[in-house]
Amino acid sequence: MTESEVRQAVKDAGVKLLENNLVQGTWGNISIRLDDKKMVVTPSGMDYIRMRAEDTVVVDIETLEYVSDVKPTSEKKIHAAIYRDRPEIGAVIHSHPLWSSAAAAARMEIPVLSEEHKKLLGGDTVRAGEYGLPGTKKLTNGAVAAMKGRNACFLSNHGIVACAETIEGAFEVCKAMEENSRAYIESIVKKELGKDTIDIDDIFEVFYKRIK
Amino acid sequence: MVEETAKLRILECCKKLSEHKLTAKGDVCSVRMDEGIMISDPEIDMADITEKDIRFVGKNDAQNALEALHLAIYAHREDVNAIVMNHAPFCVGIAKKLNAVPATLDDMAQIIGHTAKVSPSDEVTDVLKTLTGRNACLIRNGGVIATGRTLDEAFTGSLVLEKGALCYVGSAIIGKPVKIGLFDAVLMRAVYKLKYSKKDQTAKLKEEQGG
Repeated sequence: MTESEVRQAVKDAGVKLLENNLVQGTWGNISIRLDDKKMVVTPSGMDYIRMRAEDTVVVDIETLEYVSDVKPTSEKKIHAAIYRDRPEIGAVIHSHPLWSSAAAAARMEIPVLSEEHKKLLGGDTVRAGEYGLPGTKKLTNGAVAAMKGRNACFLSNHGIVACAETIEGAFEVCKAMEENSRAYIESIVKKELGKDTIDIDDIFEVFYKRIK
Repeated sequence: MVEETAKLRILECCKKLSEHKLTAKGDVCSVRMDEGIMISDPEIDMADITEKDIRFVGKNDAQNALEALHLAIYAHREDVNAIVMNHAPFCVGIAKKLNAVPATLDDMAQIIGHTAKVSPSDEVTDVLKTLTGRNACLIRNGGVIATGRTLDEAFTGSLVLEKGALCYVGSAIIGKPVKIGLFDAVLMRAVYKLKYSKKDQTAKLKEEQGG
């Protein structure tokens, strides 16, 4: 892909994330590897509808330097660290899906329930990276460690990171994270209530017991 | 803001809330105008609202408690230019039994505050007190009030609060919710308001005002 095609692919992936409710507003960020040394990332603090392909920023994977009037995402460090650590990775998505964020809020490693999801996520469990403020080394190092041998991880109190060889693949990993997280939370409610199907009232029944 | 532009923005917001299944009868959106507010009709389901169901209410012309509440929030909070009142299912569940949703996610800490409190009623004094220092609150046995510098920010706040409520519930079911520490939450909110979102919100306010 040419640089302009990659920029457009980043913009399109942002809109797709928003349309699938995998992010809200300006949160979350996306990158695609341009070559061995550079990546194209989303800009900081701009929503995916208003963002134009030319607002994306080319960033050096090693030095994090960029030549642009537009500031790149503050999470560029996580993207760059994954590309440095994993040469086979071509795209990284950091998003804030609903059910996955619940596991991130508990800072928990959770099991992957289905074989299909194990294949997509790259393991039997999904780990949570160490908590750190946005844009910090602690958050980046925690994410890289939690991603070892996996295609995704939770970012504690923050969201998720998903990666794959292509942007389409990374999007599928995001979806798998959300499906698995929801299935896991619902499986606990089902087990506790002895039901095969549940609704939101059942979820609250278990929740109210927990907070007593 | 131009009247027609305000109506269009409210219409878009109502449709989006309905598409996200975050509404019930009685829900409304409003925006600040020069001499009053533009507000949607609470009697109409948000999915069915048309431009004729959105009307201007002058600063001293509230016809009911709902309009009076919106006017009071705008009068009390100069930073608020838009309000979304809706019924998001996890927020509704939380508002039945808890007194607050603590922020367990950074986006909630940023856009809403370190907690979203539950107001004991939808009376003006209770709501204003509960909203202090925050962009949203819940109403005991009711729904959500989300505010913003723009309607886009109020809408996003409503989504983020519902996600925050779901995450609090979900994390309690599988383990233990870990709240974001007060220092970090205050820092995140300051960075969001003063730096991260400032340019985007200024541009959106201009767009929403038809600029």
